[in-house]
Amino acid sequence: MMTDNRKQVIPEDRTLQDRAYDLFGELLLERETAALLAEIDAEQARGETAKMDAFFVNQDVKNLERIRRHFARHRARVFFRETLPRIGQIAAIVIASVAVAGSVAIATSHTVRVQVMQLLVNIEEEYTELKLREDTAASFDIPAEWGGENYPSFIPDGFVLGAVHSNPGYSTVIYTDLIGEGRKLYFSELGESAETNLDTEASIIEPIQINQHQGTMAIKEGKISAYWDDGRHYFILITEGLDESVFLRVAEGVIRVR
Amino acid sequence: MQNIDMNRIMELSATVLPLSILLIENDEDRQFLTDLYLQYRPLMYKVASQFFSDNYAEMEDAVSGAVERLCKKCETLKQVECNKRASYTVSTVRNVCLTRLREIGRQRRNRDYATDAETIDNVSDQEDVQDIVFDRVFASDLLDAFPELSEKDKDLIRLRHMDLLGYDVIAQQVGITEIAARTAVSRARSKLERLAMNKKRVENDD
Repeated sequence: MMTDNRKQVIPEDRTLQDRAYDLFGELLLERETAALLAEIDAEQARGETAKMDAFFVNQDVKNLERIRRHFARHRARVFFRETLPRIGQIAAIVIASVAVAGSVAIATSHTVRVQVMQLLVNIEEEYTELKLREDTAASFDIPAEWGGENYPSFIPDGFVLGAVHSNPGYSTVIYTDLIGEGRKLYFSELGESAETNLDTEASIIEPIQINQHQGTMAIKEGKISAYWDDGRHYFILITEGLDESVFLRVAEGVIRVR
Repeated sequence: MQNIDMNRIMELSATVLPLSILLIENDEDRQFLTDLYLQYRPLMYKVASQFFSDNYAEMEDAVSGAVERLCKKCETLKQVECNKRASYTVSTVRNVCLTRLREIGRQRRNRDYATDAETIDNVSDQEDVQDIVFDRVFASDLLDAFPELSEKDKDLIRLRHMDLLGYDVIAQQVGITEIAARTAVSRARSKLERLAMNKKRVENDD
């Protein structure tokens, strides 16, 4: 057991005599450990653990959190150093496949086109002609899984779709900017059956108006949140790393898609 | 009425793209370390208390430091046989405690290593004798004789052969010169061998 671990730390200056004694040290460690374990068992049998229990009252929470944090950090390191480059390679293969498959592959992407229509008005002497025509510049795609009735028509450049959570009563979409500085954008549409909490503690709160609906904006340490309603649903928009004017543009771009 | 936690959604989103892949890795390691901690935390406490007695702040730091080290050595630990993990844990806590003691520049248990070590500076090199003795005395005899050593000699042997410290570090640890540390350890080993041989002789006579 210890052998592998100990080999790594054995300094060069250890003589044969030392090494013979190191083996003795290994046995000694095992014996002293066994003695300590026996002592612990005996104390537990006698119910003399009050001091130790008191010690671990706070320590357990801290240490378990320490373990959780260590592996969370480790995961992130593994992702950015190993998994992400591998994803990059896979992405290159996918792009190559799309190039070969051509329009067929592109046509299978899971988005739905939202047509934004323009009202064309043609006034003649005897009548006024009215007709709708697609505003191709304003039309946009939304994820096919989106279950809400409204969606942001404007997403700033550099953001990619991260995830969509669609449930009866509420839907959330998340955009991320992995290549940039970790900017994120969350948009949620919630119905009457959904109740939620928004972290507004120690935030600067401002009233805002989104598409003629009253709303509230909360700003805290680079995070901007806003909520407003249209009388049928309420909406929450949260961003990390986006400036206020772009954030408001996203909010005002929320339009009915169904 | 559904209650939706926006913070939860945001937390989830942090793992959205990177994401499920991240969640797969390491949960097993985390569980392994959590179980190990819960199993051996009394042991960690005991070892830390040997070094810092009732100084709770130092003991807390020692246990926390050991937890960090064990996390880093997770892969090695998983390969260690189950029945040896307790010893590995003890060894880790000891190392953390010793490092801390060096940091705070405190001599362990205020034993007067210096006086003794200097007085034996001229003791002849015992290496040859020890070579012979070690062949004759089994490790188990040494183990049996170990409790009869003085606490100071026990510490020196532990530092050198359990914690695998160099003489320079031992010197720093106990507050003597490196040469004195070398001599003191050598002397402690000789004492142990003599004790073991005597013990063996008595047993044989009986």
